Amino acid sequence: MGQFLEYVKMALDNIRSNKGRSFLTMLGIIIGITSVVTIVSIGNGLKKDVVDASNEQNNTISIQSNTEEVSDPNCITGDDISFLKTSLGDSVQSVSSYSATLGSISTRKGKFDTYVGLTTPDYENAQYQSPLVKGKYFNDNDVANANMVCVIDELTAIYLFGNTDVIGMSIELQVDSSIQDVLIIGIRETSAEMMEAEKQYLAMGMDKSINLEMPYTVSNSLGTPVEAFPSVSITAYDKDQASRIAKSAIQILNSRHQNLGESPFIQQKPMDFSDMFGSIMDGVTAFVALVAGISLIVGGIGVMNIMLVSVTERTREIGIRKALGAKTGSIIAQFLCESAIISGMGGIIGILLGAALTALITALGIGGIKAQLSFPAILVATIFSCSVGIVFGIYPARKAARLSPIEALRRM
Amino acid sequence: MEPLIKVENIHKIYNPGENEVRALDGIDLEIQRGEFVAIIGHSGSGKSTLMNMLGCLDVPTSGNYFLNGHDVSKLTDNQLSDIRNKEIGFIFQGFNLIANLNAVENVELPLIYRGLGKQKRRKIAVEALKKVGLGARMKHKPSELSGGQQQRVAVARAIAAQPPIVLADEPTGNLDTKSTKEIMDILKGLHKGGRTVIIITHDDDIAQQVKRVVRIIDGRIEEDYLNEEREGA
Repeated sequence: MGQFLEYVKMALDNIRSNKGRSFLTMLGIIIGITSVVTIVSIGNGLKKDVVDASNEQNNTISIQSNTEEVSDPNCITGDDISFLKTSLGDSVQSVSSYSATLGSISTRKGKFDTYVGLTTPDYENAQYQSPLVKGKYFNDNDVANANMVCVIDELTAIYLFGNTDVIGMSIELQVDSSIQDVLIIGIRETSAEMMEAEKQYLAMGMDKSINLEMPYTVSNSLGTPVEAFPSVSITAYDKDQASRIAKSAIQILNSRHQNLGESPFIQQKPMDFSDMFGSIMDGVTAFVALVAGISLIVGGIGVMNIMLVSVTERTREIGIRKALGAKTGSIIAQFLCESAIISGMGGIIGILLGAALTALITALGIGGIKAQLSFPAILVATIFSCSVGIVFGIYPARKAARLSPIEALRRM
Repeated sequence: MEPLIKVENIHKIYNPGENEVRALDGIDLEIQRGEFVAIIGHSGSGKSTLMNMLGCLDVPTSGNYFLNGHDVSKLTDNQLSDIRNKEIGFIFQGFNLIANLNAVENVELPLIYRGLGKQKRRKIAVEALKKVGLGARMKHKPSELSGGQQQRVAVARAIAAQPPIVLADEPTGNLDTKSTKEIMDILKGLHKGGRTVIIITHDDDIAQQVKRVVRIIDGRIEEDYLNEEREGA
């Protein structure tokens, strides 16, 4: 061990006395490690963003019919939805299903294409839905009687009527050949951002997209009957309860539809997407890191090159050392230490630069990337850079150690 | 008592075959402990090859070399390294100091390879440098020292580890008259102190200052005499 420290000291002395050259030799390793660390960190950050984003939706569960077992996926009825709502009780904020058809509405301003959302009363509080600012949402009674009522948003109201005092007004809705008068009973808020975005669309000459929300039972009168839905969304108050609620909801649905098979209902997993994206990101990151890793090998060859030059230059020194009693192993150790230290230092500088670059990218918010330093990547980079030094140092070191002392001393 | 150096019928042949060069052609030589010997000869006489053999830097093609009673003519590279480290102190014509180490670090080199600890090493090196009169220049790099001073550092390096033999290859070849005298005085002092000193040189003036002279011509020993006897004759 003591001897080993001597070789480390010899190596450090020599690196110190050739500062400029040592730095240039390190440069290849520095660039390689910096790029690997930065790239992996960016990849890491992107992946984390997506996974976080998808984890946020976790308090809403979507249960769908299992298309592998069920021939007609539309098997969740309005009764199922009401029953679920009652059974699940206070723990859920909303239980709703949604379907849509296309139609058009006519007002004094003209005729507009529209989406007709056919849904259930709880859709009022479903995920991502803005609160009502005027009037009320349709209720179970409206559903039962298939009342021709609808809810629109503020912007649509302004677009169609010029103001939002439209509760109690009628619009004429046409779906295929059926034409019905529909009463406006509620107005949803349009968020400021949404308002801004829509205004820009309009300014660009695009048509306003108009959405009505109506009790799904009106579909019978509209000529496109919706009797059941392929899926139901349940929003829990508490995220932690979501998976328990999902299980009991599936149980309830299964027991209500025993004729459909063993497990006709399954949970639609939002995580599937993030898992997939995560593994794609991992793949892309690994590939780009590999490309950057090639620069490490190039860096290693640079180290080898300089060490070979160094051996030639220091032939005389090697001769002196051997004459004074240095063994083959001592010379190999000295030169290997030197190349390992050079690439190890390059590695450390590279990691620091990579960390700084990562912090900089996050701070500047380039592309909204929140780069995240990856410790496994740092570990791998460190091990890799040291092994590069050792592997590419072996050849020059052996060459140095094999010099005959007489030959080496003879060179002036 | 067994001689310190005993060389028996040593041959060194380069390029064996048609163009072979017999650098050493049957040398027999014995050197006792405490002797002061000059090996002299013109360039190409084989004296440097002999010095390489005596210094365990090379092995003979045939013949035996007993150093301190051990046959060293058939040792491996690493074993030879050990022998050089323990038994021989080298002084070269071109000083052969390592440029980026200072005087005391240069003197410490053989001690490092002997495996001595840092403090012990430093103490020995400092003493050796004081002995050659360089106590005030320990931290100087070779480039900051004169030729004579550099050679004195080399002498300190050669004697620091207390090897039984000091082997000097043209030690004054690159030095002016004043430095030559300084170095010769130091070598004489070493001899007086009981060390075995062997000088390889082509300079008859140097040869006259030592006790015993071995003259090499064409790889053979031509003459082997004591200066005292010759002067007396």
